[in-house]
Order: sequence, then structure tokens, then C-alpha cells
Amino acid sequence: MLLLLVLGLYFAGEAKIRVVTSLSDLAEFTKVVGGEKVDVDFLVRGSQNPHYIEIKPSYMLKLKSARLFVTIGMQLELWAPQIIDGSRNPNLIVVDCSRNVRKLEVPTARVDASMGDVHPFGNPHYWLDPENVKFILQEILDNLVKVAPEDAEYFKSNMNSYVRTLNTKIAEWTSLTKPLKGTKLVTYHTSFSYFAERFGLSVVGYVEPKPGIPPTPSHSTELIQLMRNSGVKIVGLEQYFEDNTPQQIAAAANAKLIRLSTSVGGIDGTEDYIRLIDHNIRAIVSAAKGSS
Amino acid sequence: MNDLRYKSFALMFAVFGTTLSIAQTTLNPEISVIPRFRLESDDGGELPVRRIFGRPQFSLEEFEIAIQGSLNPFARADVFLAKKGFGDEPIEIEEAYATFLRGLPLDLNFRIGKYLADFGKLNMVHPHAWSFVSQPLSLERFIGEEGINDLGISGSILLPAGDVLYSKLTVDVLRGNSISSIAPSSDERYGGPGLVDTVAASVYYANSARLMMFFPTSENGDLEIGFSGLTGIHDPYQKLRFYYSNVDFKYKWKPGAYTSLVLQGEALFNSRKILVGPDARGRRSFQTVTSGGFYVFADLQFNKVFTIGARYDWSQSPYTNSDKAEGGAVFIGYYPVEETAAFRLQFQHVRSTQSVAERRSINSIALQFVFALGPHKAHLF
Repeated sequence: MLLLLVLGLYFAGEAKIRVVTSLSDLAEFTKVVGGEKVDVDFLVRGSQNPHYIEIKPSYMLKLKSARLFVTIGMQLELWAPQIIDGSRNPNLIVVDCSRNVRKLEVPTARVDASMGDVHPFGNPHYWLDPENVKFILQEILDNLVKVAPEDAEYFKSNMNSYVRTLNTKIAEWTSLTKPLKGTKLVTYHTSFSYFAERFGLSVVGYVEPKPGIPPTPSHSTELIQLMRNSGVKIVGLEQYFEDNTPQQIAAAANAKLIRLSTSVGGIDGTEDYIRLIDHNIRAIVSAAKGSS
Repeated sequence: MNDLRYKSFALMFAVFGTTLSIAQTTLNPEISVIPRFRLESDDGGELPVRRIFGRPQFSLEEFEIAIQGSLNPFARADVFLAKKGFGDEPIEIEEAYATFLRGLPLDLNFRIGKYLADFGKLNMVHPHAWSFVSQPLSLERFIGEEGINDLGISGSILLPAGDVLYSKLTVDVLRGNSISSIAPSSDERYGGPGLVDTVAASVYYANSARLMMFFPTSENGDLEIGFSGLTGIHDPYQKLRFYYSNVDFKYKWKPGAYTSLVLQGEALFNSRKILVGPDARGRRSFQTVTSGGFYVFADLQFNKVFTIGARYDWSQSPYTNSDKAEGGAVFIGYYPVEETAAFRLQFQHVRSTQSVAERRSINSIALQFVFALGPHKAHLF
């Protein structure tokens, strides 16, 4: 009897769909849709810059036993093909969550390295717009259903439940940011384009002279001048960048430096996606109030 | 009517042309150009008369062209062409191999072509990706400047070792010629026809294997340990065999985006039979030489663009254990924009003892500049 119970528990564990995601945010979304039917792990911690990831054999090991690998796509995870190849998993389904997202900052001319690390398919930080999360959830749902069609209703019900929560929060966030419409800010990298568009903010400059290129003194001087001329009072700094230069820029332009997070778990208080967006919005609202 | 026909043709041409152009863009392999320049001076030029640093020599260490891409859904190909210097040096095929990644039983991977064998930790890493400028002495002496780089077939398999330990076994069958040419023309000393000719005429297979194990030690730390073995004919004239065994490790601690510490090293043990000359009765006599060498280095990244490190080397010779060399190097790396450009400054001190009476030491300063034009991939651990 005990043996049967142990075997039953063992096979019940085995029945879970093993999913690995590139980002911690995608892990949460997969867990939201898959519920108890999925076993989810992720590769990039919230505190890490997802553009630059060293390829570790342990990542390959994680993918080896996975059925789905959920990615942001749009070449954010340029490191992913080597990990996928190294995993030697012929049954792995790679999910690109960007498929149905409306893309911003898609280059219209030929992209080359003189432009910095420009993504040829557009800005990939779309998950920071909560409305885009619905496309991500749908993509995850479609692929989970491919693997376990018998659980389609369960997955769909989980997704709808989360979308309802998300809609309530979107309404709350929209109301919180309504007074900030048109507020100008500067960020380190082009991480908040989708977020800013959703909440009516305006990112007028970046600490990086070009995407992925470290700040230079001449660019910082120009940026300070731009901030003074445009009345920018907020410098938003992503969790994984050093704060030396942004701090100097903020001080010189009489602006406030705030830490924002691009991913779940990036900084304290961003343990899930709702809290992540909550944190970013409250930080901006508070900085805007402080400066007014 | 003609106008309509012309417009239809133009439309067809535009559609077809666009499709073709997109298809070519996506099907083209990735091409990168990676030259390494070196400005170097040492104080060994006028020894034993006086110790003075000579005029710095500016050289093109190597010019590498990498052409890489998928062959089909199951395999990829990697070709590296290299040329040393600005002069008449030939363009060499540094590596050219296909790797079969999918569709094989037991998830085996196969590599066929000319390649750097999976022996030790540094052999497969191209010099432009090293933290330092010069090759560790033990590798220079035992596997040569070009490393173990030969025609061959390699198979690798992931060993079942749970969810935490990544364990890979790679076995190579190599043509063996580059291994044979490691020997310093031992045949010529005994009136042989010359090593190069002998090597060109015959094939002496070499076999190597490496067991690699990787596991995280903490949230921010990872450790890789490897055990390698290599055997082949080092003296084609006398058909004498050598055996190498090697143990390597790499530990990396990366607590933040711009802070990391790498501790890495490998130790190589050599056993080989050598011809020591005719004995008193005029018969060939042999001797077994056992020797070895090791290096260990630390490399610290302390901000986004700077690294600093130090290396210690100790090595005997493959042919005698009385010929020793040891040295140390300190190096600074500056990477202004990711890995697109790198400056490395290194000071190295090397002391060699060929016999009790013959000791020599040389100091050198080298500045290396590397740039990478083209798609640069994420680095393997």
C-alpha cells in the first residue's frame, strides 16, 4: 500500500510539465497559467541584466529536462541558442512571447554596431507594459495546451482569473499615473519605453549615449543640459546598473534618482509582477510629487 | 497592355527580389573578424652583457576570420581562418568543423573536421578570449603554441548525474600529426629523415578524452572540474608514444553585474619514452621521461570595464625534467565597450633552468589590442 502511495506520488510529480523561462517574470506568468500542472524554473535572476548572460552548463542542464522554454524573443536572449544547443533536448519547444505584441522602436534603416546594441526587431522590453502581459499569457497558454490538451480548460481558467486581477490593477495604476501624464524622465537604458507609453510618461533621454554603450562625459553633459532645458526631474535607474554616473547627472540637473526594476525580484519589494509595477509606479509618483 | 505587362513584371521582380534578399540575409552565416595586435618589449636581447628593455616590437599576432552558422536543423559549422603577421605568412585553416547536434541516439554530439580538441580548460579557448596576453608556460611547452589542434572526430555525451551536476564526457580520435610535431625534431638528432617529412607521409592517430563536471557552489559561484587524457606518437621516426593526463578547474564568483572573480588552473603530467642513443653495444636504448607543469591564475573584474589578474607558471620540458621554467605575470584588462574592443597590459617574468650551469631570466612587457568586428556571442563559462 505504502509502495503504491509512493509510486503514485512519484508519477504524479512526473506528470507535471517542466517549463524553463528566460526571465523570472515569465516564470511567474507560466506558473499563473500552468498552476499545479507545471514545474517552472528560470535562468536569469531579476537582479541580472538579461542582455548579457554567461552561458553556464547548469542552464543547459535545466533545459535538458524541460518541455517548454519560454522566452521574450526579439533577440533579447541572444545567448539562448547556445544554451538550447547545449541542452541536447530534441523535444524542447521554444516559445517566443513577442509574437503578437505591438513592437516599439523597430529600426527602419539597416542596423549596425555604430548604433550600439540596437535590437533589429524592436525594443524587447515589452513585458513592462501590463497590457502586453495578456499576449504573453496567451502565448504560454497556447503552448501549454499543445503539450497537455486535456488541461486546456484548467489553464484557460487560471489565465482568465489572473487577467481579471491584472485589469483591476491596470485601472488602479492608470488612475495613479493620470496626474503624471506627460511627466518627463530619463532612464539609463531603453528599458521603459512600453511602460512609459502605457502610463503617459515621456522618456526624453538616456544615460547611455546609445543602447548598451557606457556613458561618456560629453553625453552626460548634453543630457544634463537637456534635462535642465526640458525640466526633467526624475532619473530612473534599472536595478543592474551602477549608480555613479546617474547620481552625478541627477545632482547636476537637480533631479531625483530612483531605482526602478525591470524584472520580478530585481530589487526588494518586487517579488511578483504586480508588486514590480506597483514599485515602479509608486517610485515615479513619489519622485514627481517630491519635485513639484 | 505593354504598360500593364511591365508593371506586373516590375511587381513580380520587386516581390521576388525582396524575398530573395531577406532569404540571403537570414541564410548567410555569421562572419566575424578578430585581429590581435601586440606591442612588446623584453630585456633578454642583450643578455648576459646587460639587462635593458629593447625597442618595443609592434606585431600582428594573428588575424582571425570566423564564419559560423547552422548547416541544417541538425548540424552547425564553424570555420576559423587565421593569418599571423603582416608578411608572407600563409593563411591557415585554424579550425573547420561541423557539429551534429540533434537527431543522434542518446543525445550524442559529434564533431568532424579540424578543431581544437577538448583537452584541459584553455585548449579550446581562442587566445583573444584569454584574460592574459601570453600562453601559460606549461601549455606552451607541452602542447605547443597552436594547442592540440588536429583533424579528427569527436563524440560527446552528457552523463546522467542528477539535476545539479552537469557532467560531459568527450572522446576524440585525432589524426595525430599536430601532436607528433610537438616533438622538437628528435629524429634529426639521430640522422632521421626529418620530422615534417615523416609526419606528412604517415598517420599516427592520437586519442584524447575529457570528463568535465560543472556545478553551482552557491547562488553566485560555480565550479568546473575537468580530467583529460591524451596519448599519441610523439616521435614518428621511432614510433614512440607519450601519455598526458591533465586536471583543470575553474571557479567563478560573480556577486554583481560588474564584479567577478575567476580562479583557474590546470596541471599536466607527461610520460613518454625517448630514444637516448645507442648503448655500449650499439643498440638503441630508450628512457622514460616523466615530467609536468601547471599554471594557476586569478582574474578580478572590479568595475564595468576593468579587470586585473595574476598568473603563476611552472613547467618542466616534455623531454627532460631538468629543463624547468617558472614565471609570473600580472595583467590588466580594459574593455571600453563590452567585448568589441579589449586592451590588455601584461608584465611577465620568466626564469628558465636548462641545466644547473645555464640559468636565464627574462622580463617582458606587452600591450595587446583586440577588436571583434561582427556578431560576438555570449561567452561560455
